[in-house]
Order: sequence, then structure tokens, then C-alpha cells
Amino acid sequence: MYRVSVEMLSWLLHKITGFSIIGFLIFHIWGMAQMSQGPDAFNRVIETYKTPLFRVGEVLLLAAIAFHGLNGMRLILGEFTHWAMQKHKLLLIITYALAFVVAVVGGYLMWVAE
Amino acid sequence: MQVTVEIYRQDAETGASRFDTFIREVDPKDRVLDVMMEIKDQDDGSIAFRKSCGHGVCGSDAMMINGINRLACQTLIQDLKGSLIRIEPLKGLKVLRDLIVDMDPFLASLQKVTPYFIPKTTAPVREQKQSIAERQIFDDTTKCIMCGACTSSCPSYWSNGEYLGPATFVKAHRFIFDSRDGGDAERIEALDDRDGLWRCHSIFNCTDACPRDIKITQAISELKRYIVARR
Repeated sequence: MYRVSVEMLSWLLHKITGFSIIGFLIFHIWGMAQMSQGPDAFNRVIETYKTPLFRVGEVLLLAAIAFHGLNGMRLILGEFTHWAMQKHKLLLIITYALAFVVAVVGGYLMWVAE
Repeated sequence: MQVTVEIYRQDAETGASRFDTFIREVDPKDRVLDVMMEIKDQDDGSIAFRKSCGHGVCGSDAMMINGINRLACQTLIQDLKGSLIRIEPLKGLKVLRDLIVDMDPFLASLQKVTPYFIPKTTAPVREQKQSIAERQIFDDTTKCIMCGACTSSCPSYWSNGEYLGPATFVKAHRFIFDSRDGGDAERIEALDDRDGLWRCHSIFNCTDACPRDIKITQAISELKRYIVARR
């Protein structure tokens, strides 16, 4: 088993979050289709989304999108600038720090909102 | 100090694999290769591994030591931080026996980028001059010893053996950025391919593994920019 460095972990997380977001999109379209069945169906779906399982899921979704987006920006910077390649350790720290802040602050706001 | 050495063994005919464990008394300043030679000499002469110069120049003894590709002749026991030494063959290449892997696909990949100098003019009449600044651009990638530590540390290569791999890009970088070289066209044709540069996801395993400390991921990103800018 090859040692997993932070860079390799980021690559793995990028894949996992990427596939998760695709999975969410498919689920989301299915959910929207359910909602379009009428007022009763709409309310039923919204009630389901208010359950703790889905609320935790929403926060995890935010965390996944925040990491995937920021890590993607880091990779793009690395492809296009010499500077980003030289400072890749620093950029990794910034990526994780920002993703953490977005997930925690955003997650908190989503959790307390009705 | 006492160390436990676990060495991967694989039968050449049946392909059956196991780990053999040896406990030895070593000096922390010994190299992993020293310990392996001692084990081969005193405990089990049937262990097969490649080594040649033993001084980090020939690139024969690249292997996975405690989860990272390194040269056994450059790795000191004290660098491993611990008393367990686990030695495995390079990943992504077919194991022929014990720690010996088939390097043919790796070398075939290098061939695809014409890894030799192609002059711009057919018959140079005098020496081709190059400034210090021009030489500096590809200085880092001239250091490659083709040990295969980078390519066999790359997850993209593990999943697709057709991928050219970091070592090939290092070789391409060394010639493409040489001001005297004129062989760009054929090299770029191989690099700008579905199994070329674009499968690199900047995982940095190659840079970490390189025993010559070549900034491989950086070299690959320079190649990517060069090819995109030419379009």
C-alpha cells in the first residue's frame, strides 16, 4: 500500500466529492420531478427534506462542493502559473482552511435557518 | 539497533507471493541496501533484487520502502523513523520475481518521446552555443537516472499502463526546452494525446519519490503550458 500524502488525499477527495456531487444532481432532478406532481407532493418532499438526515446531508453537500471547487481552483492555478507550483504546499493549506471555514460557517447558517 | 525487515517475495513460476521477515542488528547509518545485501549473504541467498552501482547513480535499486518509492542505496535506516522496514517491488509494473519488476513498458514509454537530441540544422558546422540562462531552463530535468520511482508512484499510471508517466515527461522536458533541439513536433505529438500529459492530476507523488529531487510535477505543468501556448 502506497503512503497517502496530503496531495494524494486531495486527489482522492476530489474524485469522491466529484462523484458525490454528480450523484446529488441526479437525485436533485428526481426530487424536482416528484415536486412537480402537485401541491401535496411538493409539501411531502419538503417535509422529507426537513428531516435531520437530509439536513445533515445538505451540510455535507456544502462541504463537498466547497472542497471540490476550491481544490479545483488550486489545480487550475498550478496548471497555469509557475508561482502556484512552487507554493503548492501553501495553496494546499489555504484550500483546506477555506473549505473548512465555508463548510462550518455555511453549515451553521444552514442548520439554524428554518 | 534492531530492525525487522519484511521483504516481498514472489515465485517467478507460480506467482505466489508472501513476505519474509528477518530480524537484524544494524547501524542507524547503514543504508537499506547494505541490510538487504547482508540478508542475501547470510540468511537467504534466493532473494532477488536489482542493484548495480550502489551509489544512487545507476537507478537500478528503486523499490517501495515503507510505502514510498526510493533507492535502497540512498535510504538510511535512520531516515525511516522506526524499526520496521517493509520492502516491496515498484507498483504498476509486472513483478517478475521478488523485487524485480518488468521495466520494458517503462522504457517503451520513454522511447515514444524520442529521448535523444535532434539538432535544428542537419549538419552543424560549428559548436552550438547556449547561454547559462538557456541551460538553466532544463537543468533540473537533466538529472534523471531513469530509475522508474516516479512513474511507478503515480496513481494515473497504476490505473492505466498506457499512460506515458512522469519519467517520460521529464525526458521530454529535458529536450523540448533545450534551445539547440529541433525535435519538438514528434515529441509533442506523443505528449498531446489521450495517454499523454493530460492524465496528470498534479498528485505530486512523483516529486516526492524522485531520488534526484527533480521537481517533476512542476516540469509537467511547464510542458502543459508550452503545448497550450503553441495552439
